[in-house]
Amino acid sequence: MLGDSLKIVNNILNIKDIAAFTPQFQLLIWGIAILFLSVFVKEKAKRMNISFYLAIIGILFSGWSYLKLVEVKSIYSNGGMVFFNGLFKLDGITIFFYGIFLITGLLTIFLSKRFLDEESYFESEYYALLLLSIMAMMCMAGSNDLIGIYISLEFMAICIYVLVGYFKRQLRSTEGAIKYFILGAFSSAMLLFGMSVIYGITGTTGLSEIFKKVTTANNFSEPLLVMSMLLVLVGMGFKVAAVPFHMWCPDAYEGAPTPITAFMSVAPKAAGFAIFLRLFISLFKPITFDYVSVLALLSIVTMTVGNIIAVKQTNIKRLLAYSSISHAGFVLMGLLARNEFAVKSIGMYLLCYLFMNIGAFSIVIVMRRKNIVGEELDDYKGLIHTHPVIASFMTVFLLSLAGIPPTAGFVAKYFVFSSVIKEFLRTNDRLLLYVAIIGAINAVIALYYYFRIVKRMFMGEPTEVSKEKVAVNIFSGASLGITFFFTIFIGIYAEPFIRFANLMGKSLKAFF
Amino acid sequence: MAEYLWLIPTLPFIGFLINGLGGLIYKKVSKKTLNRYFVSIVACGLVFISLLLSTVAFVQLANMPNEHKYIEQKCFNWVTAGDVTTTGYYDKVPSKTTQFKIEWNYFFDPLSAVMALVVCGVGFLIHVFAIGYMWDDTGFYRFFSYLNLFMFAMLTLVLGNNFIMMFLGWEGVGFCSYALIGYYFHKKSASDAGKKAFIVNRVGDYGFSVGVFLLFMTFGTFNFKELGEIIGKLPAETHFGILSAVGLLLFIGATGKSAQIPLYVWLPDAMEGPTPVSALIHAATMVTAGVYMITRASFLYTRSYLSLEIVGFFGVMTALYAAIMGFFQRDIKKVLAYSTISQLGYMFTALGVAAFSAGIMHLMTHAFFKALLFLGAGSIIVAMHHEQDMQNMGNLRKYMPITFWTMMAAYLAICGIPPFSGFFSKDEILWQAFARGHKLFYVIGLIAAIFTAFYMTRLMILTFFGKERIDPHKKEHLKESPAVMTIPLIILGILATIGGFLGLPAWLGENRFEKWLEPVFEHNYNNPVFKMGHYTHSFEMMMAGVSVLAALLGFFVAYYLYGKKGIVPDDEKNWGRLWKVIYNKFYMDELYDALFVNRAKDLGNAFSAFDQAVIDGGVNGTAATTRGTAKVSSWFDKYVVDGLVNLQAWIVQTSSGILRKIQTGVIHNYALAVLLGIVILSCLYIFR
Repeated sequence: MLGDSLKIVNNILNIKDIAAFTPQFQLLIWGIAILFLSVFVKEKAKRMNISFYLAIIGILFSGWSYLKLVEVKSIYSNGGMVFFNGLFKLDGITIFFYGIFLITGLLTIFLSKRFLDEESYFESEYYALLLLSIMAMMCMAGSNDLIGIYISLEFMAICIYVLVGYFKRQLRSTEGAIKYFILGAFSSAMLLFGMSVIYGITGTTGLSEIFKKVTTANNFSEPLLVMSMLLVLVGMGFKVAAVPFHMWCPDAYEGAPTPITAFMSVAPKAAGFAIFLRLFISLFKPITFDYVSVLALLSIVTMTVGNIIAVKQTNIKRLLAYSSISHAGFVLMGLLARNEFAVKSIGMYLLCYLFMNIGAFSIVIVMRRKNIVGEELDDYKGLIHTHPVIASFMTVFLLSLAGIPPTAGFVAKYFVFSSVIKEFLRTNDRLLLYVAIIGAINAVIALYYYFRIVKRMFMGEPTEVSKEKVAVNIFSGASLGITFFFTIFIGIYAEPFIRFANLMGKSLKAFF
Repeated sequence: MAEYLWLIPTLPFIGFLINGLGGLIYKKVSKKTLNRYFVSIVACGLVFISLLLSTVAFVQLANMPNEHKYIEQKCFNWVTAGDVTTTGYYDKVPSKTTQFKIEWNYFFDPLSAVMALVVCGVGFLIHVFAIGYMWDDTGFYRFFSYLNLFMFAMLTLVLGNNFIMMFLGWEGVGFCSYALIGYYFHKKSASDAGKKAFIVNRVGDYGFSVGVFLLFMTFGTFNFKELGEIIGKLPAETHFGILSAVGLLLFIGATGKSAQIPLYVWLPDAMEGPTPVSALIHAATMVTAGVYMITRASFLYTRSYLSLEIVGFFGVMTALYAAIMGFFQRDIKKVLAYSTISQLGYMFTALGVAAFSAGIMHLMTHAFFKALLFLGAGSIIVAMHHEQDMQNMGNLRKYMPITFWTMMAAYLAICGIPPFSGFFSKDEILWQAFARGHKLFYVIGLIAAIFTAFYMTRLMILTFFGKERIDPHKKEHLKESPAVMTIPLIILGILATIGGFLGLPAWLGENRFEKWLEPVFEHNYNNPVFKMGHYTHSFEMMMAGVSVLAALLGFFVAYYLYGKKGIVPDDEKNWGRLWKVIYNKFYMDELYDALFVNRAKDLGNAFSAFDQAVIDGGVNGTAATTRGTAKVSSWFDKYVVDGLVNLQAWIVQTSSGILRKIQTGVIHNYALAVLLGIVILSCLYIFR
């Protein structure tokens, strides 16, 4: 009896699959461990510390198994390898995004410690959900099947809905969470609808099989496929907060605990772009309709609207929310060309954006002090006189977000712009040129609102708020130091990061 | 094979981090400065390890066959970017598309070996000397961190395998020079001198960078070895071509860094810095960067006679001109500064006649004896409590015997008395100039040699001989410097004495120095123009005799005036106009002020005056038409020009306001937006 069921399990799961999944398993185990522990440890302060350290251990273990995976180059180079009967694929994209998620997760956990201490409100599912959402994103980046994509996406989204509404007694937090949840469900419905249509056309959910069917058989209905593609685009556009599917973004960002805002502005977006890469570079390639121009329009609208609204914001979290919308527009620019350089440029943008954006959010978190929210732009007045180090760090992050050399932001913008210009020179498609020009104009607008903060910091008179002492503990200091270091370092010596981002291009080579 | 090569520049950099950053943090935390023993051990120890590593690399290099004397260590690719299409070199080198790439690789060939050993060796001795010199200074750690940073930049300059790394080092040494000249930044003259050095060097750096870019545009690489292989196959340019342009642009850079006419003006002022800095940066190493650079690019210069000729001409003119300016200076360091400019002129003369190894040989011996002279001067200055005017010295040999005897060796070397090192290197330059047919350079060089002997004899007599003119207060404390200062002096004294035997002239034996450097110049020798004329050894020997006689002539004139007649600097004023012109350096600073500095200021004033006049004219103009036009133009400005500018800002601001209103906070509207998005996207497909 037992032998039979073992045999069945063995047929479904073999040991190779489990080995490929170790980074996820690590997160799962440690996340559940945190939940269990909270039942047994009664004292709040103790529980807080224990779950914090467990979360760090979880991330580090997962990172360790990740590095073990990276060592085995033969798995993910050249197109990658599939696991779980084609449900999951380990290739350059997966490896690259694992890195992004793990770094983001680690930095977020570092930042959470101080934030939760200051808020003096703690529930242990905070760290557990964080770990589980990272795990879900990792599954998402590697999904090679529509069902896999959908399930992991929902898993991630549910974790994050709860995290946004973490302060359940604060109206702002609950409101953001509810809005995010309702709209998220709405867009998920669209996504699922699109996916079911694809299944209806091809009779399969595996990405490789769908691609094979669509390219070989020409008796499928193209309008139906385009419709499903547009629905998927809406669903994924919602996840990366592309205009006009961005409406949830400022409310959710403002309501969420700030470390979660930092996390949301990077990791789920990156996961969304992973799906974009899987679907729009490869899967929908056979469609004759020029959907690249749709993406181009989306990119233009996204960066322009995000930027223009950001101009009038007075709350720094909302400002960064809108700025992150416009950054998504810049990343979309990388999808307009189907070649190795363009894919590399998306990777570089996400990597640089990770460090500079989390860096900027770290400053916002550090500025949160007992009894002082510190989220208004005016709270940054005269900061250079009262807290010169924090002000200069913030200046570097803002310079980087605006794309000024020698910071990471410049490298990022350089890559996406040159990928678009190169594609324009190759195809002579005017629309691409317009995208580049509008992108450049947007970079100027962005400079304006980032420098509104810099101006306040350098030219304003110090206020009571900016005079208040800022205590940076070791973890938030580490997060600031790491992000600052990489923001500068990538700007000066980008070579190893470019090579890392290039892993993705290599695994998509078959589709160029 | 040589994985330690990167350590040679990096170790001093680590020293910079420890002393500089560490010192800064330590000061912030504990309100005390870093322990001096610790600072000196870190700073000197790391430079010493660099010296040892250079020696190891040198030995390794020496054991390699002549055809492959080349150690390279690839570190990493600093920048790789998109493709670049080069223009190509006329019809000889085709245009091609390559990847823009800057490597960070260190390499070690015979030329780098000489430079690295000189920089590390002399640098180490000066570091040790500086411990004694700077002991009482409050910024002890700051001084040594700059000095170490300088060593890093200089070694990167010397060991980098491409022009960009060289440029990085080039700018780095420039920055350190600026920081160290202005080390006593509370003194206005010092901070002004720092700024002057920086700005004048900027002019040169501009030429250098444009030259490097032009080179890359043409050939598509920064790498010395690759450039040497490409350019080495080209014939020499007979007319003004790209190579000549590059050569001249690079030479502009060299005139800035190596203080040649017309950009020499910063070096005398640079003496405001502490004396070890003058010795290390402004005599032995940094100022020779230009000589090194042109030697490194010799494959290029040998293919452009025009630029070689110009290099030689400017060099020999500087040698003469600076020697004259050194005649009547009263400040002991100023004399040495002009002497440095003059000696650098000799080196450029050697490069100009394509006698590259003679130039590098003089660079090396000059590093020994000039560093020694400066350190000797530093020893005197410390003993005299920061007295630099030679009017107030005299008969110091009684009090400072070690300083006197070591400086004597350097003095004989710089005058070119055999068998001291300077004789061999300077005579080699003069001889090569003569033998390669540049008779004019030879004559001017010989005159400059007379002058050199003159001003150096004057310096020696005024400081060490004659009547004591020392302030009685200072005399009480007058004594020889401590061992930490005299031992470097003695070592340098030995080097200044015997250093010349490395490169004996042909009539005394084999020139080992030239043999050693031969692999560096492999691309130069297929050019028949640079063959020497045939002369017998006895003739060469006679010419050496002439050089010695020239030195003796200068010596006797100075001896007659200052030794026999006992003239002191105060008496020189009676010599009238000649003295006045030379003492005031031919009014060159004033001329530069009048020509460039004040003109730049005038230009600014003129613009502002022009503005004022036009606006005032518009407002106060009597004619009604003028007033009318002004009104119209002001209206135009206000509503059309400003309007356009403000319109853009207004559009952004208003649209921001409107778009912000869309964010109502009502969730139905949000869902509506999503739906609208779907509708618009579908329309894009349906009505495409």
